[in-house]
Amino acid sequence: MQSSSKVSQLNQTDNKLVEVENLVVRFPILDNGHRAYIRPVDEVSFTIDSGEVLALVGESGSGKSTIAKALLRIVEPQSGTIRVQGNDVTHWRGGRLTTYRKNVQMVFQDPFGSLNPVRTVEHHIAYPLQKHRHLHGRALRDMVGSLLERVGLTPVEETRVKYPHELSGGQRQRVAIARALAVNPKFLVADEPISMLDVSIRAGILKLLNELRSEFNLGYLYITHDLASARYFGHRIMVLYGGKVMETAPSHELIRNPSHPYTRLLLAATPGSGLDGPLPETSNQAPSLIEGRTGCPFAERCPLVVDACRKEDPPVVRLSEGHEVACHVV
Amino acid sequence: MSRAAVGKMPRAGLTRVKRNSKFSAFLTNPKALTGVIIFAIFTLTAILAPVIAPYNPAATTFLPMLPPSAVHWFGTTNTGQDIFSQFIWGTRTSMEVGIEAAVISTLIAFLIGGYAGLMGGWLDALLNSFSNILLVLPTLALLLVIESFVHNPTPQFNGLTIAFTSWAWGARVFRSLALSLAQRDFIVAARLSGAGSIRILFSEILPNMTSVLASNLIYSFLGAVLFEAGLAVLGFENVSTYSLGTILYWAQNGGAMMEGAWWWFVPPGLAIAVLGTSLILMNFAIDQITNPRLREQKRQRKANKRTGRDSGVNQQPSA
Repeated sequence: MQSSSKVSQLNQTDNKLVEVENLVVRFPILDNGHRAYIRPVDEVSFTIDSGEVLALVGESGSGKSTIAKALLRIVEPQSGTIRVQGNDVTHWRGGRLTTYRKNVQMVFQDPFGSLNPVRTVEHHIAYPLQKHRHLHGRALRDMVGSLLERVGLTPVEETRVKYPHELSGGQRQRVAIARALAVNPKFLVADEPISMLDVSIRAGILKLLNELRSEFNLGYLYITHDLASARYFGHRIMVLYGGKVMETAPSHELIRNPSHPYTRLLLAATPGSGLDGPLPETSNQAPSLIEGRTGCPFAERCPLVVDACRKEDPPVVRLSEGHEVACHVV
Repeated sequence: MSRAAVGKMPRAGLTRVKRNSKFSAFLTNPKALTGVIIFAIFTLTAILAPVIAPYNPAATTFLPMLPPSAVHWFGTTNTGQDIFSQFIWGTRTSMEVGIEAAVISTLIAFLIGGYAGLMGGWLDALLNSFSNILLVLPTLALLLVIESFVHNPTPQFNGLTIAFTSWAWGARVFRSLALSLAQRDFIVAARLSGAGSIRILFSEILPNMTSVLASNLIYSFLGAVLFEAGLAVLGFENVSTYSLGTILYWAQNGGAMMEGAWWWFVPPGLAIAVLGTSLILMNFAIDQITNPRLREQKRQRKANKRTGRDSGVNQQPSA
């Protein structure tokens, strides 16, 4: 294990920030009294460069958030490897895990749940600074102040003593971003950071995230179910369905030239798509995630389905530079 | 005045109102106020016992079995001790034991229950089954077994044993609260910030449980006072100390019932009952203030009353 990671470390190109290979997460369930497993994330691979935004798109239950949690090591991967800056962090524990989390932070979907209701803004941001950057006293206060200022929460002195319930959703999300920035991370996982905010302030948050990206050369895994924001914010888009990657492509290529039937369905379901009439699907059933399932998870809903779809996993076809699609019929 | 200052003022004002409201709700609640006043009297008595008590409680210098009088407010015992002095010192002991047991048992309950709920998994199963076992053991029987191994335990020692045998209910409550909090994003975020479990328990979870903590403190205080009195009456306490329980013990042994010396056993018994009532009242009030459903009912009742009166005066139905 150790030696193999060293070998691949030598093989990799040097600017890959995050490399995920064949990641599998499984959860136990009870199926008619028997223990069975579901795989919300099934053999997913991707890479993210420094300063790059990978947008992860998919419907509810497609495994987007589970990938995020596995990356942050909140859930334990069943198999596969996660390499960050060349280190295989898949099974790190204890002190090494704490060190790892200095580099990787998360912005949560729900700005109301991600802040402790009985703690001030200052408390949320000060703790990671004390813990990881060993700041105290004046230096700590100043650093909290400059972080608050950086995320646009001014006047700073007024904001730092406030409690979460005194802030709006957008302001809370900015506090959460400041907290994530406090440890000076290399990589941010943003799990639907704007989906619970007012439409009018979404662009502001995305703009802030984008500024921070270029300022700190941050890599992002941007999770969303909104193709429009994925296109606006993401350099590349990865479409997920039933725990499997359907299609990966540079954002504009994916929007202009969607190749997978599921991607086309997603685009057709977007308001303003120009599609008039029923969606190109044969069912709207949720995919089966049970372990041992064969074939493409989208087969039940796919208008182009052939026999092979239900029996064999689709091959990954490379259409152009960076555009890959997993489908039998493309 | 600058624009920023003007913008700041109403907000700060609002905040202050909001933060005071819980505290003032507690004091304007009649139940809570009654409870607090009674409890304050007991606390003052306990603190000022050496000043209030007119005589040495152990001195046998008076005539035996005197009924209450201006000299001996609660009369004297069959050995000529002043019962009022004993009562004051006894109150002090009982309050001490109550505070001691309440603090210790709440701390144990929070540590075990909170940690189990936060960590989950096998640790939770282990700690939870441990508290369940303690929960099904009858506490009094357990106490009696422990006490039978100890020679002349002091009230303070009894407080300790009570604390160590009665934390299980609290642990269950803290566990279920911690379970629900542990899934919240801010706990995950704290973990990602590098906080360890103990820090999360005390810094993130504890401040979210203050009302339950207060109510648990009050209930274990009450339980401890009752158990301590019970143990003392049964003779499982050093009988040369003065607690409300030992006074009852001596009243029983000194034949207070047969002699009709009601002044000997009524005051300590009544004191325990009144102290218990004050604690229950305060707990009701905490419940009412922190449980929105109870508050809702009250508001609704008020609203009903108002609409009922209004409809009597104003017959026009509002659209």
